[in-house]
Amino acid sequence: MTMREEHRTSRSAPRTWRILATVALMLSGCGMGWLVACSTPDSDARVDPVGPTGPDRASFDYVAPVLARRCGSIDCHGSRFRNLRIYGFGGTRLDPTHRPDLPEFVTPAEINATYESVIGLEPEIIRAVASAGGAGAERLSLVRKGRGDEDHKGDRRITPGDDSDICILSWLAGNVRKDECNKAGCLIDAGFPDATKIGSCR
Amino acid sequence: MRTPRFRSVILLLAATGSASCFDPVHDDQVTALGPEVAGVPEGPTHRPGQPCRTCHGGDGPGSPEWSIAGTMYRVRNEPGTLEGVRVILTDSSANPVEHIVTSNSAGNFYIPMDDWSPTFPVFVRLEYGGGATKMRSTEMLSPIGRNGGCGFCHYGADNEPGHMPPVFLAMTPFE
Repeated sequence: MTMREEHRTSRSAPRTWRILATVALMLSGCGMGWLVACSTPDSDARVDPVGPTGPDRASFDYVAPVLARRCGSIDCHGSRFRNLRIYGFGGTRLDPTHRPDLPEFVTPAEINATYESVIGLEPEIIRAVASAGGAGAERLSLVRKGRGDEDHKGDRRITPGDDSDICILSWLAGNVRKDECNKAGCLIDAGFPDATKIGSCR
Repeated sequence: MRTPRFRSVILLLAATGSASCFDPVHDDQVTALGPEVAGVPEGPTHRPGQPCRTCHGGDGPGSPEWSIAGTMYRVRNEPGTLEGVRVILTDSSANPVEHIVTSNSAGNFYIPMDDWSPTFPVFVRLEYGGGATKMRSTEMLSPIGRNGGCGFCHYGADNEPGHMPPVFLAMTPFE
């Protein structure tokens, strides 16, 4: 072996190792990617901007009929063309086999859908309000527009201090006032919530 | 002296101004209603069942503007219109005002905005008959939220979740 050949060999050996190491690294990367791609995604995983400290879902059963009654007619938030959609009797129904006037109550699925609409409108603010025991509720568009304090095509639907106002604010405070909610939602309570009839009242 | 730049600015302002006078969505809604039915002149009996305030809602082309307007049908999801139904409307002002209008020979009823500009929501009750015929009455359980054109919510078939069938007095046929 000449000196020149020796020199070439000594230079090429580390280079070969470098190439092999790079290929191995790439293969391991591909393998990891393959493993990730083929792992089963968690179908129950959700991005939850509101988090566990958001306003209570269970007691929203009492609030949803109030919103359906006050805000959810077909020409207002009971339209599927609105950002804040409210489902239930008198408005758009969630179940395609239902009609605006049948069944005569807000279904559990509709309560869920309306809850998602409400908490998704301003998720960070509603969480802050709920965490603060309802303090600062007037920061919410739901409250300001409902009261007509902010420009609202439907004008004032909730008067400060009336049953619907008390219902919504008490829910945000984590202590829902059921009687006021039932009055505001015109509920004829017959085995709440599955038979939450909406009666005729003003 | 008018420079080309000055003329361009004037043209741009004119184009912007004229464009703001047109609402293509509204124009499409009016066009979708189609032409008048042959033999029925424009007036109180024309276009029964259509959303009155599309044209009579203040943006034209109909005049005058109605605050509340619609067409009354005899039975739910059946085609016959009904004359003589008293439509009793109550608004939500601090001192609620009751306004009554009666459907005409085409079933149409309407209230000019100049006569009554209600505070929404508006609650609706219907009465028909009395005297020699049996009195019938019914009440709409959900109020009118903000659109006084009945046909905005009441149209089409009776099997869809997002709208009601045309305004009706009775659920089943009656004498």
